[in-house]
Amino acid sequence: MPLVLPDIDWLTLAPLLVLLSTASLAALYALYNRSSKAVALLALLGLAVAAIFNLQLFVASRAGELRSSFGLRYLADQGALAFNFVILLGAALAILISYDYLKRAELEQPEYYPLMLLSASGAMVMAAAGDLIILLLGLEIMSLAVYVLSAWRQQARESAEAGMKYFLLGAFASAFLIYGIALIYGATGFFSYPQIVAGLLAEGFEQIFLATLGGIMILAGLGFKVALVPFHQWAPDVYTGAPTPVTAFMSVVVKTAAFAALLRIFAFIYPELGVLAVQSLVVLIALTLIVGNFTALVQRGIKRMLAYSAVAHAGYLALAVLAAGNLGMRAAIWYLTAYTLMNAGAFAVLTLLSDRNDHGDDLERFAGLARSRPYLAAAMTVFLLSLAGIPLLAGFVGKILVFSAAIEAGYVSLTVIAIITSVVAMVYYLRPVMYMYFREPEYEPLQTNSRSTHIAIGIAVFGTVLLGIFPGWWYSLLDLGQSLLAGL
Amino acid sequence: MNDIVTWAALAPVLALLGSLINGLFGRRLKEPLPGIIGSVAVGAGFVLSFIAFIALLGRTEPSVSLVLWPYLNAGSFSLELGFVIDSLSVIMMMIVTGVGLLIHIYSIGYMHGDSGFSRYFAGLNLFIAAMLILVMADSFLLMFVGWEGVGVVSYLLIGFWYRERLNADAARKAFIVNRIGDVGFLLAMFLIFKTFGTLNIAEVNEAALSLVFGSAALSLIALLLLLAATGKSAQLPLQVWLPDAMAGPTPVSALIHAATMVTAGVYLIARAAPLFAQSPAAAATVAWVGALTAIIAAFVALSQKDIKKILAYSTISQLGYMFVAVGVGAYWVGIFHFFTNAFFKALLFLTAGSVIHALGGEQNIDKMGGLGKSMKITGGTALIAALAISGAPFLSGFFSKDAILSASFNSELIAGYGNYVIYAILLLTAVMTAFYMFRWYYRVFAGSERLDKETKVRLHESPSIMTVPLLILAFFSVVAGYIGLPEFAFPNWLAPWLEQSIEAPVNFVHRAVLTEWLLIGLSVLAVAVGLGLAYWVYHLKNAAPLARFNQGFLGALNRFSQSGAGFDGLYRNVFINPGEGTAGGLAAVDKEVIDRGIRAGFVSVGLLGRLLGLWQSGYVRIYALAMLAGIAILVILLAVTGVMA
Repeated sequence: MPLVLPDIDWLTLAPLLVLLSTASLAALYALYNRSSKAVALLALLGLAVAAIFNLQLFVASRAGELRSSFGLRYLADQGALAFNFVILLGAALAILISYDYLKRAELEQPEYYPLMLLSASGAMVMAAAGDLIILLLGLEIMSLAVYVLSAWRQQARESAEAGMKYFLLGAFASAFLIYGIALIYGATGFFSYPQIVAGLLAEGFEQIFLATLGGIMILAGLGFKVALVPFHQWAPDVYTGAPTPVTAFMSVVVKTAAFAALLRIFAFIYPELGVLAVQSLVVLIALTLIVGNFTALVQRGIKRMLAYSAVAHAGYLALAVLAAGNLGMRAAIWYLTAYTLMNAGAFAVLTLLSDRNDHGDDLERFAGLARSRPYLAAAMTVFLLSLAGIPLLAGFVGKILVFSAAIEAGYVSLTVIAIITSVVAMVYYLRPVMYMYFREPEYEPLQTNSRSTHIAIGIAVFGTVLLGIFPGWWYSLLDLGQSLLAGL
Repeated sequence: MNDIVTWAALAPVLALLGSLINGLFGRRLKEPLPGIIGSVAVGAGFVLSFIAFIALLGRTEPSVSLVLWPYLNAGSFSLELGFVIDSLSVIMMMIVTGVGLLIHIYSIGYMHGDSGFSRYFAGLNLFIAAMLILVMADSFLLMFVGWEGVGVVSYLLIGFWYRERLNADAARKAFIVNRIGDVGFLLAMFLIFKTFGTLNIAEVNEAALSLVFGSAALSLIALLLLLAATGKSAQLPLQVWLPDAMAGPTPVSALIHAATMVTAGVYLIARAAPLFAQSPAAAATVAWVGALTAIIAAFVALSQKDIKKILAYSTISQLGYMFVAVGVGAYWVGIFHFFTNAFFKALLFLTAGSVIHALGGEQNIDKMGGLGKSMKITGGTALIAALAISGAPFLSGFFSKDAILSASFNSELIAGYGNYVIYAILLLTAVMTAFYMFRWYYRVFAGSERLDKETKVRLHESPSIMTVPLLILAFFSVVAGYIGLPEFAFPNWLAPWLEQSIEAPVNFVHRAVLTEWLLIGLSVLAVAVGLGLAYWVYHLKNAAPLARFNQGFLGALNRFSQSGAGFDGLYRNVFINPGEGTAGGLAAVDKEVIDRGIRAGFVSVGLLGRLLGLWQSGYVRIYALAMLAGIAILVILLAVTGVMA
């Protein structure tokens, strides 16, 4: 067997390499200079440069040019590149939120930022993966950094517990994923998606049982990352225990990456597996929608409510995955863009309201906020209404797109469940709004201010409103003719 | 923007602006400045709407569409957001801004000294903006924007005086019940898109006319829209929220829960008229829902003791009339009754507000009486409003109500003799309406004073900022009906004007002129009977004949009526607490049970959440076990079902 060197298209890898090298540079710099400010700025710069390379690739891919590396194992198709934008946006928002927060909480250690960049680079690998091994690689790069970040508040019990919990259960979930990969490899003999599909469709293929089992295992592994019921239970605990900016990062970047991977696998491999593979996702979605929304109803703490809301949103997103095809893909990317803005925004507001130990996110703290901090209350209202799916905000358009994609794909009854639960959800999203505007303050509100967090909130509000009122431009950028996923 | 009509598109923008100014800077503004800002914003909207109306009057095709911006345009999903200002929407706009303006002005007096003065006007303006978007929308999507908007604002304003726990509960109940309607709207929207490939109302209407008469998809869409309409317009079986919504400030009840928002359901059906006209089953359902709601709500209104709750049930009953109108296919009549109702119903609430204001918060009509002597303007205008809503001849309510009665008698849309039964129900309801409205009037404004001593000292007529709006509304309660005189004998301006915007083919029997006069005579008789009965019981006998209603069958009937016809209890037993049996049942539902029912509703929803929370123990091993169980179930399923590739 002759040794074949992999083909490498460096431009394809450029956004990834920029992040990796910025992370290394920042980590090295931090050895000599403990100034967080410089490192944070460097990280933001790295994200910006990566976004520029990504834009260049995106323009090229819209012109119909498909670039890839390692023989279609690392793809820079429109889908992957669009996800990259969302990931970079989420990471940038998280860093902006983190800066003053870490100072206030006396957790300021410059290594924080390189870890975030590393995690984001793993997320990008997941979005681009056209091969199960590459997917696993990306997942682990992303997750390891987040395990550390969620335990960043070492002296606090909840934070350490959150990190530990996330790590243990994450390892457990990875085991499922790896087992699933092994089963699919065992059944077909391949790791890369096109080859797996070819193997599944080959004449005389008899290992469909093994392959379907593998598909279900992979679903469980990725379902853990996006918090689908019953693989969701870590989410409320870890979201509450982790430092709030890390929660924001987890809820947007990690979710985007895992959905990117799930979408691609689902679009390629699932249609060729046994019906139960698709059916099991249907069941998981129904469970997720019901459990997520109803549990969120009874939460008193906003952070925990947002954690369950994140579970519920995973349900809506998974509906887009189920719809597969271009319509579902586009709906999912759109939804994740909106979700990143509104969810990161909501967590950003939370960082300004809680004390330095991350306490004080209960509903009562929101009472009378409209009077004491009108702009913050207005921003939070925008985020909550958008999450609730009130029209003319980004979240509403996302829901419309996802629901219509799902109906188009024939999942009518599941969509009805989604519509009903999304209506239930309004109750818990609007409760804090009611408190902010129609209650007398019970506590002296914290007058925490932070320029970088304000910038993040500003971006998020602007984006949420803009995408809600003019959704057309971003949606039409997501391709009109050709497929978002290479080879589909 | 060459067309002067398009300037009316600024009306919601102005209201939104007023809301923003009051919401963000209101705290720094001294009373009554926020009220003036709010009133000016709405007043300007009224002027623009009125100009648009005048401009449309002379046109052969009174409809102007205005595309705001292309919303989504990709592949199969293509949508533009725009307003349509036609004969139907411009009438709605004038009512929303006109009556809205009067209520804003009234509120400056009513809310005087309230700590949430600017917040209140911010909410009121936001409501006007959302309501205008709802009526001006050219697509179901944009209409849903307004639909949700008014729902959210209504929720916030009901809970305005949040300190009382009851208000927060009422707000939540209103919100939850309304969400059921929203599910209907959303589902209808998706189904419309799937069936017609567009959400533009005009396009959908046109396509619906070419669809098979009574096709299943059409009926389903129409029924889902009806569900949405019943939620917003408090019709059976979703009427339970409106009486509780009275917990909000009285001007809010007048504007949102009487004159405008609650009529959104009627407007929706009129807007989507072809969908209903092409689906007789759905249309008949609309009419029956309306008729039953009208009579049940009137029955409940007979025995209520709260000055506002009587009016709330009368609102539900009048909305029932409108539903009958749009159900039997007389779409313009539904809008006509909305038009007249907006004046006299707003007036009734504002007089009630004036009374509550004067009595320092007292709402029990047993502790009122004789107020007409010291509150001459309030009492006089209340009398006019009561006469108008009862359908006394030559006042506005007479013409619109009679139009509904005659339309339901003559409609061919309802199969069999159904329309005659509906007519009979409405006629009986008319008797009851006159009776309960004059019970209300006599108990509050006439007869002996039953006030507490302390309240009596405070008793005063409201300031002129509150009474002037009353007088204006009273004027319109008298004259508003003359734009829609009975068609068979008089010139009718409204019907042809509105039918230019509502193109739905519904046939009505044309009866002999004598029959038509006979029908009018019957309506007059119904009013006379109800009024006379009320006069006898409450004026001549001072409520003495009511003693009989304390025991036996009549007593049970009385209690049944007082309990709101047992709906809260029914829901508790059927949906919330089926295990507890029917012990409470339909007949013996008392106040305490209702309260418990509401609470039980929240508890049981909460219980589900808590049960799910129990599972959230915090132990990693339990979580891992749950994951394992999840995957195990999937694998076992796979093994059992085998592989069906």
